[in-house]
Amino acid sequence: MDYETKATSLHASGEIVPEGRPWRVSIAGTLTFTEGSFDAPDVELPEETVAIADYDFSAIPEYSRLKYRQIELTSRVSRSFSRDASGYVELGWYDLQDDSPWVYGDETGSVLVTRAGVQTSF
Amino acid sequence: MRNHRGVRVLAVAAVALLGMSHPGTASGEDESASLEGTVSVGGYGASLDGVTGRVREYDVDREDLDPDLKLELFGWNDANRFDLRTEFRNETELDLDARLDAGKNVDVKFSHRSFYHSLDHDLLGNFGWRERVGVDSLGGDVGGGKMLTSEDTDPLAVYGVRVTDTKERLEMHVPVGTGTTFLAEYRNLSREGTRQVLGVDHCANCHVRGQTAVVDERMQQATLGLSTVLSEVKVGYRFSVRDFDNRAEAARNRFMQARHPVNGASGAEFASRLLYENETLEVSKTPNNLTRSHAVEVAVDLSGSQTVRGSYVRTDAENQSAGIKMETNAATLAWQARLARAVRASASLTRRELQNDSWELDLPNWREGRPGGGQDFDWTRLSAYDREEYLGSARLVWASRPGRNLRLDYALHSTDRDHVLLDPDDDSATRTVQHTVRATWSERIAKATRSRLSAEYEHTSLPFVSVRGICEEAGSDVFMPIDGGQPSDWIYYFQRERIGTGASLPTKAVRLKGNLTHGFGARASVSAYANAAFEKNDDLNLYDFERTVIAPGFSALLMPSDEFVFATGVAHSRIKSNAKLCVTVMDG
Repeated sequence: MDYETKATSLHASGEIVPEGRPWRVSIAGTLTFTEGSFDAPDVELPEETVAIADYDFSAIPEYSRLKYRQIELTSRVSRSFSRDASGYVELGWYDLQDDSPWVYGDETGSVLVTRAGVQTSF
Repeated sequence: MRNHRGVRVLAVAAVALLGMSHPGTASGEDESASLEGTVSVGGYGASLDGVTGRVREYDVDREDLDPDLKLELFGWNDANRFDLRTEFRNETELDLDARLDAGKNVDVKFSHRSFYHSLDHDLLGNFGWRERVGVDSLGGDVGGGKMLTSEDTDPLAVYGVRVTDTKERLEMHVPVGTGTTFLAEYRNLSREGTRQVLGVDHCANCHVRGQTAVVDERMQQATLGLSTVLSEVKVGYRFSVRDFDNRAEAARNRFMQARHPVNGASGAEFASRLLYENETLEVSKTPNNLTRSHAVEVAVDLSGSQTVRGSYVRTDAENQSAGIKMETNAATLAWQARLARAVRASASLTRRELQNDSWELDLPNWREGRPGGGQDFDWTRLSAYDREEYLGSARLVWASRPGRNLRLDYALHSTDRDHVLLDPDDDSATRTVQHTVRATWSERIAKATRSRLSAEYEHTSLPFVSVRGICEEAGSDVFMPIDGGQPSDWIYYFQRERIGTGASLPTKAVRLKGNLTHGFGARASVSAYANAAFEKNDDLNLYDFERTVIAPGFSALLMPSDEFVFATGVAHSRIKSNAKLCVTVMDG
């Protein structure tokens, strides 16, 4: 019986700091695909049985299958008010698509996170 | 349920703040200032959709407005300095790092991490099965007595634990002798929350019951050490104690009354085969543990840039809930030297011995008071930990010219287990011997191009396996009683034999790694890597175990101007392995 897992992750990020301007912008993203499952097993049955043993294993590949797609996207914008003070806004979007819910149910979900504040140095 | 209110408040506040500009308020800089830092004050809000325990496994996200606070401080005064960094988001999540150097003699570090970890909730949906013994007159299935059922007693529960990890470290130079140092460390790691535990009834019918259990665990570890230098010899002693305390009340499972799963009869016959039934017992309880260790280390600087180091460590671990003790003794001798200007070598050998208490299992007699019953299956569990190990290593590094480096490694790991057989055909086969050789080549191929290649071969004789752990066959064509004089049909299950040896460890393995990095001036670079492993165990009697790992990747960094930087990459991994699946014969 074979078990195979695959994971592929792509990421990209960038940051812009315009010269002479108070703005700074950054963005980063990651896209990940993961999956795993058993192949249909070649099951060894006992040579002799105590009772009926007409087991059906055809559903194992489906039941064992895990498949997720995950996105993480974050962006931050900050602006300087002065040499020692700045403000920021940050957004993060985290999304999971469960394409093969089984043992733990459908784990599909997403979270949008917002941060904002001011910063000062001394 | 969605709640965007907190998010909106945050966004409006942030836009208002960013819209304000105060370009003329730069503060003056005091060059003699002994304190500097950064303070960040803000808010944090989240909008949730669907199930978030997996997508944000290590975060507490809630539709509420929380603070987003950061503080960084750095100060100095003559030879003294300190720094502090802390980040607070809510009552569950806090990061803090602090360090104080009081002159040249005292170094103090403190760190604290607390976060939330979402745990899984098994819906038990795959725990449902029943034997089919025939077909009725209407063509429907006729169910038998062998079945598996399940029950989730808390289906809406959301499981998770708050983890807090606090570490403190004090290193102090003592003004006695030369290089005398005192060390004290303390760590407190705790987990609090809830988790899912499973209780399994057997025989009356197989019934799996999921329920909620409280998690309240604390691990404390303290270390005291003292070292000094006597001429060319450095001597050190270290004592460590670790206490794991499970303070939660264990979950309790109600084990059903034993009886025939279809007609409810034969209660006494079923009950006589079980260790317990019709009672409530603790399940899934983590035991308390206490571990003490003493370590002595001696290092000697020899002539010719050579160092010899020896150490001895004794560790006593006790399972306080069961009263089981395990003793570990380990001695290490290590050597390293510069053999030539471009050649360095090192070698080490460790002998380690583990001895764990045995455990007497006092079982009720099988089918006591029933025809053909009364067998005593009490037995003594001898620990699989009991062993003698040798770990050896040797390394040769040759730096033939700047940018070029060849490293050769050899490792030996011999494990002789006292009570675990590793070969079904040889009752004396208890020793696993693993040899690993690896060559690593690093070179700057061109001015801006670096490469690294590594090839490893590993051979293991008698790796850890489950001898006769899988696949059954009849032990005899005729079912015979184990003690004689009994009805054979009561006990024929014991006449069966498992014949297959299962394993997930290879006897032969080849592992390759390579990466290549090229820079295009100071503003761009690309890097590619590939890892591969081919592992096989062809010493098994029913199948060959194989595992293949392929993992390539690529990344690039681009900085077209001083104002813009861009990075991208891709990583892929593929792991394929196999196992043997056998069906057991199940009949009471």
